Amino acid sequence: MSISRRRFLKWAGAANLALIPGKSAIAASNRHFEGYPQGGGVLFDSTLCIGCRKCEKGCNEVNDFPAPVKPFDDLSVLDERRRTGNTAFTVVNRYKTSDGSDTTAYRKIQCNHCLEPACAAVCFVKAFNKTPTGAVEYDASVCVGCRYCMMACPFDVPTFEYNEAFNPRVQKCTLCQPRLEEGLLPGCVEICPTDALIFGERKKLLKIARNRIENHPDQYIDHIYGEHEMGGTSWLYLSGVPFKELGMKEDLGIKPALEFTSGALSAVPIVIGLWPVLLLGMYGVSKRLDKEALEEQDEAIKVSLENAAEEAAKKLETALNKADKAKKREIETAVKKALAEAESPQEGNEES
Amino acid sequence: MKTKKSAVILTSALLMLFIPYSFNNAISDTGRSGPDVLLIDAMKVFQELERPGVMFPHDLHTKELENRGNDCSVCHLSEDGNLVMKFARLKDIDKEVTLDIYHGKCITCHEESYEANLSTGPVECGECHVVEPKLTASQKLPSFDASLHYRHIKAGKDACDNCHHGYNEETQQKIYTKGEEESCRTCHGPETENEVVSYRLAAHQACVNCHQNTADSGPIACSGCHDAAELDKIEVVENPPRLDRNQPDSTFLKSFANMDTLMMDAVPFNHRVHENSVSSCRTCHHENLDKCEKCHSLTGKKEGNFITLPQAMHDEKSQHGCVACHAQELQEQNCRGCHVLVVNEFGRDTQDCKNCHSVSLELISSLKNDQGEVDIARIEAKAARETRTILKDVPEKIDIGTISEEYEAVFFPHRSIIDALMKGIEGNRLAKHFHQGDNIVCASCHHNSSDELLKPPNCSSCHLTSGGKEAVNIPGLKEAYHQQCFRCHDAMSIKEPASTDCIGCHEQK
Repeated sequence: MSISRRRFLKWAGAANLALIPGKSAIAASNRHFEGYPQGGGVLFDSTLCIGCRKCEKGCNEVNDFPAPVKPFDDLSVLDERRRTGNTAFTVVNRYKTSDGSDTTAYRKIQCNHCLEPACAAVCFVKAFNKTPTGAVEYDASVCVGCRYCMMACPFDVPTFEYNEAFNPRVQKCTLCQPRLEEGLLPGCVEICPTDALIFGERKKLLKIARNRIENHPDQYIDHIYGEHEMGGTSWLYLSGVPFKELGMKEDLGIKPALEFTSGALSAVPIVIGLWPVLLLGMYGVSKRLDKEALEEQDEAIKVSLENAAEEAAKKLETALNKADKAKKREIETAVKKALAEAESPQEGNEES
Repeated sequence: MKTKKSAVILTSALLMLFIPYSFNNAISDTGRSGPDVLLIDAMKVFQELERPGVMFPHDLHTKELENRGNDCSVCHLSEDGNLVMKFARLKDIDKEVTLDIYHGKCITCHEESYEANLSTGPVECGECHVVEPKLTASQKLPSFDASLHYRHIKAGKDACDNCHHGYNEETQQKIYTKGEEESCRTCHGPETENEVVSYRLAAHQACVNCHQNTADSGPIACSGCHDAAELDKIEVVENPPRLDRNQPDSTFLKSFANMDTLMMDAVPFNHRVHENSVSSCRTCHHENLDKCEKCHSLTGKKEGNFITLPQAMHDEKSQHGCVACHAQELQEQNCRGCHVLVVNEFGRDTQDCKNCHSVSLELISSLKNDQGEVDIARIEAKAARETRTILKDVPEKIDIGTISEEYEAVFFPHRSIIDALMKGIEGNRLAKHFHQGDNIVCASCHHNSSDELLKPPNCSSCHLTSGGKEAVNIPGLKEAYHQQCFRCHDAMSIKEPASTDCIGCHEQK
């Protein structure tokens, strides 16, 4: 089958049109990833938290971490701005709130287990994986230790085993994935004495959270942190004071991290696919140009050679002609001279 | 604009350089915030201010004049024996005239005082017209509450017309009708409009002049009424007698005009009791002292912004209505302990409606006159005080030992907690009204069991000792206890024992 020029252009045009709106179509669509249907999560209700550090203790025990420098019943550390570490997957900090001089509120920090995790998006060896239980899993066996995940995490959660000489790992809360698989609750949730932490299906947790806000509008900020932040997280937060006062970022937006880069990254396959074609094409074109140049040169030489021969012949002819003429004139002159010589003695004789 | 401003600053700065002398006896009154500091921006009635207004320390001037044996008339003119609040003029007639009055009088006096070697103030432009003044105003607005009002009535020998007046449009005269007194703010708004002066000016004219012309009366200096410390010194009359403006003792708030439009039972409203529990009439009568239904009719009127009577009373935001004001009372420390636990959503239960809508139309129509209304409301109010069931047969203490793990069980003083709560209710008339019925005080802890409050089910019938954590929104037994105790203690500001102090409640095992 032969392709006419017109048909080729039609196809090319259609292909271009399909490519152009590709990016915006994702954003405009009402279909976006809302997490795994039965995905689990934890609801942290800051108004119920009493800052007892039991969750830190629970986490420490289920993960077999070494005992902390300050024991878990020392509550003075709550006022420090602690962050998670490779031997403390969760910490609770206490914050002074604006509504009164001596009122405080607590915030628990751990991996939020994003629905579309930034750590997994940046990992080029796929060490992170969002599982259907809700946990973001980490596979140390493939990790190359680039720590891109630490840079990418909007919540500054993953930490690195800097003190390990061999095979250091990135460490963060696992949502007690191994325990979940056994049908047990995450360590922190199980030990919480006030149910400030409850584990369950994320969708149910959202309903519970909304219910609490609706029933006690005077006690809660009308916002569930984590419902939409960075595309939604498996951990959800309720608070009686603005989340900013608990040191939580309120400027994260609702886009998952990977959407910020998907546009640029989606161009990669196209670039990879197009470069060989482009380069080969350029090579082909330059080769062809070379060949054409050679051919032209040959032609030119041929023509010039032909021309040269013709000209030489012409020159020869003219030269010959000239030579003929010169000879003729010479002969004529010689003849004339001879004739003249022949005539003149006769005249002299006659005179003398 | 900015360049203009900076030009002004630059010029004043240059001028300052060429001033060969400075006022060494000028009163240094810098960096102060006082109740007597007022902003002079009189020129703004004519045009936009060219220079910043002048922060003027009024009491400083009054005191200095007094020291020199002068009185208010140095600065203020009088009209009909009353001081005019404006500076050295009766009215703002002309821009130039007003400008000259201020500049002429202020600067002249300051200069003369300087010559006479008396305390004096600035004379240069930039010294009075300061862009970022160090003098700032900090007036506390006095509250003309029932106590202060009563003291004025007593001092004025029941002559309400000393202050209260109406206005006759035809004769253009102030009139007074007994029983039709209004709040000042009914007519005197935030700004002067036509002949009606602003509330601020009206109050100053009335108060200052009366205080000045009456021996042994209230303060004249700014600080007397606007300084927090001075205000605290004002004697408070406990339980002042009731104001009389022909208002009813009690009335019915009806959500129906007649039988055909019957909607809800009427609400007996005890006007007298509410008078004592609000700071002033304006708490409820926010625009004027007319009856609510004059503007808020059952169908809505333009005067009432088309807010109907039921909407006005049930609005959960407006403090002028019943529901929002009552809900505000729940923030009381005595009330919060329970109400932080129970859902305070108004109207969730039909009992909520019946709490207030308790008098049927038949009953009202059987009454002959207003007196009857008063009587029935009194009956209702009395009933409200007496229908509370006396709590009997409640356990003295409860031993919650079933879930004891790390610590010993708590000795839970069940009876004394109830007694404490009941005491809180007892001392509050509103609380008493809303805590009628069978042991309703039990419901804050024994929630979701309102039908069985006399013998509530065990907590553990819903709150499981294990597995309560699954997201069914029912805490486990231990967690439920902790939540209940901690939230109530927090709300009632019970600091000891702290929530994290386990052995404050439990014995160590």
